[in-house]
Amino acid sequence: MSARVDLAWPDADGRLRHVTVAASEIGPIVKSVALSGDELGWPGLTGTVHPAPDPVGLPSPWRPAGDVRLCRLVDRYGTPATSCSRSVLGRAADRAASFGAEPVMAAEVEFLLRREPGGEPVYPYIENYGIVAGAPYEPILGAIRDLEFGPVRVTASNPEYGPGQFEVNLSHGPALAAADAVALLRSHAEELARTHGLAADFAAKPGDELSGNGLHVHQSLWSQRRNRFWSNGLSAEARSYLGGLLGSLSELAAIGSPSEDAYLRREVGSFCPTVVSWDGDNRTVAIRALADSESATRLEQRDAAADANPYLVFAGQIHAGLDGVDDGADPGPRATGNAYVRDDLPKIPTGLGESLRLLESSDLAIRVLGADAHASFCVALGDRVGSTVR
Amino acid sequence: MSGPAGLEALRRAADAGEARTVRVCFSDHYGVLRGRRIAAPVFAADPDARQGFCDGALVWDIRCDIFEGIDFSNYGTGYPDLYVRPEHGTLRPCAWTAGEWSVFGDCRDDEGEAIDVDPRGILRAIAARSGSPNVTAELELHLEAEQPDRFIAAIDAAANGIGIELVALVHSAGDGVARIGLPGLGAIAAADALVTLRSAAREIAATSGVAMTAMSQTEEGGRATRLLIEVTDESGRAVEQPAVEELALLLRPLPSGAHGVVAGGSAVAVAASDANPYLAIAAAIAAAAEPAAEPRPAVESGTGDPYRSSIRRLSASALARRWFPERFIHDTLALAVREAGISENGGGPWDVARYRECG
Repeated sequence: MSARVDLAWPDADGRLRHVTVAASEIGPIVKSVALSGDELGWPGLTGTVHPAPDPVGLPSPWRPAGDVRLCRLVDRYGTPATSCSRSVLGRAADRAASFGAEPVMAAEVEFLLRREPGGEPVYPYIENYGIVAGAPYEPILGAIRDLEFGPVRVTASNPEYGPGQFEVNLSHGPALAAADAVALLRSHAEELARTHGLAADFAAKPGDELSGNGLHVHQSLWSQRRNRFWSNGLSAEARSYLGGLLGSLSELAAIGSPSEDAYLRREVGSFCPTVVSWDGDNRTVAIRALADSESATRLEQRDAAADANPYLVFAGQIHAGLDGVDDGADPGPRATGNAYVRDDLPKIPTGLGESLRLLESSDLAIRVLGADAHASFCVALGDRVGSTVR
Repeated sequence: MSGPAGLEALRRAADAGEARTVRVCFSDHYGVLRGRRIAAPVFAADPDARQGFCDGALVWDIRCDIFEGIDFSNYGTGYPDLYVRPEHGTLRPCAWTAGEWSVFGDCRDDEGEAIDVDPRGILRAIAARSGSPNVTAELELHLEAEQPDRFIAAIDAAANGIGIELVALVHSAGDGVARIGLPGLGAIAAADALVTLRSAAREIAATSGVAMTAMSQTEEGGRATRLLIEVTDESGRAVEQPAVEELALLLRPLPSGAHGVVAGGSAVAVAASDANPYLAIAAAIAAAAEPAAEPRPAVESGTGDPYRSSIRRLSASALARRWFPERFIHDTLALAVREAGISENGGGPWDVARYRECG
């Protein structure tokens, strides 16, 4: 074991905070590290919490060849902290377990590669899928593709539909591992870019003329190695889960779009959805239902921003879907064709203020986050209403 | 053919840490190499996995702009995925960049059916229909370099890496043009090689301090670089292509090529160096398969704007309709009309830069 180990945990935005400690300090709870939710972006959550490291190390973004132990945050007795995003997701997975199911998740993450922090994109054109355009950045993207985070690994990358924009694909896995991979990927990309004199920017809308960065979430429920979303097509349970996702998409929108900037990417024709809608393989809708084979059948929710907290996004979607299963929700008809011109479908909130009002009054959001975290999260978002950071 | 190739060779290279990445590649309408880089262990573990891409990639313009008026894919169709299933026989190391391999595939729809605007699939169908002739090709590129030796050697190595022994590889300092001559190959192999080498040249140039472009005519009145294509019969003789200029838009799909390249004799299709090799070869094969039986369409040639003229000729071409899918012709014309409009309005530095970096 290395003499030193990084410990890391997500803040309210899902960004990993980290410290490096001597390996000898590692125990079930590392009480030498004391934090408060407040300093992690959870206003009002002032109690002292400590990191509780996972038993297995993963590649550290901050020290080459070093390990990082991702941590839950707990109080001195080991009780999960209100401000622990990983525990929020853990509770969602536990709820799925009560259905006899394991949520299997995967993410696609987009980011902008800049010449320097706040600088120009590394190339000024749209070069989607451009093999040659991506070549100069292989020292960064190649290293990203080498990353393995336990059961989830980076599988692929390509230039995306915006100047200097890239997409990275992660394999599917258990919900917590999949969210961990998103958080770690972002930190790795930032560090790798910095090492090469560039800057990786996951901002939801990095500039007026630049494409927004999305976080697409693929999900299905499995039990006993069978995909419950598959029944020679989309299963009845999958349709109910889909109905749940659609029914809560607007009230949970603030979790996936927690800044005013995130709503600026919600433009007609941008491939970021604008209306509550679903279809099969249709890039204009909010949720794609892809049901070609048992192994590949999944729902892809496409509205979240790349800088959202993946733990909270995943947790919200799992709870929403399970509510749909509980209620036998009906997803309604497919939005075939161009969903951007469907005035008859409910609009997804177009600003943080509207989105926050829905979140504040959402019983589902309280169940997802817990009452105290919900109240704190709403306060944090309230401070962002009306201000963009681009 | 030389060098390692195929799935087992990739697996050995991956196990040895010599293959880190596999580029799963297809061609867009302009012959620009598109695709995704896959971690080599991921590819090796499931080498038949199809890769999904937004199908707008087959009908966007040279700037990757999508627009309405295209039949194949638009907001109304929802821009669904196309799928590329790797053809393991095309797995080859990219000799010009350590650790990367590439593999090609045709574009397929969700049901696994050929897509009628996929350039590689179109060439495959036309080649099969005409008895799978061989083609020889020579690609010219603008290359400004006082010391081009390193670049030329790297191109040679790149060709060897994909199993091609070039029959010509020269750089003329006088006109600043490099010539890359392919041996006689099957149609798909030739087009794959041309797309690969043209892309490799851009990558090599970027790392070797030379200025290179496949844009055919970089300044008005300047030397236009070409892609010369012969279709050969079983004895290796070049077959006449009397009506190939009906398909000029497939040979010279961008205004700079249309304005700069002069059509050649009837045994050689004279395409622009920034043509899509799949489509240019398909045009040559189709023309070679129809020896002058068809009267030329009553459309002017040699007068007016040559790019607009090529649009009108394709629009009126019976030859095109006998060989190319109707939807492909429709969308090709829509793309070209759009490009003509941009060009006639003067374009801008942005457009010129896109032309320079194409291929």
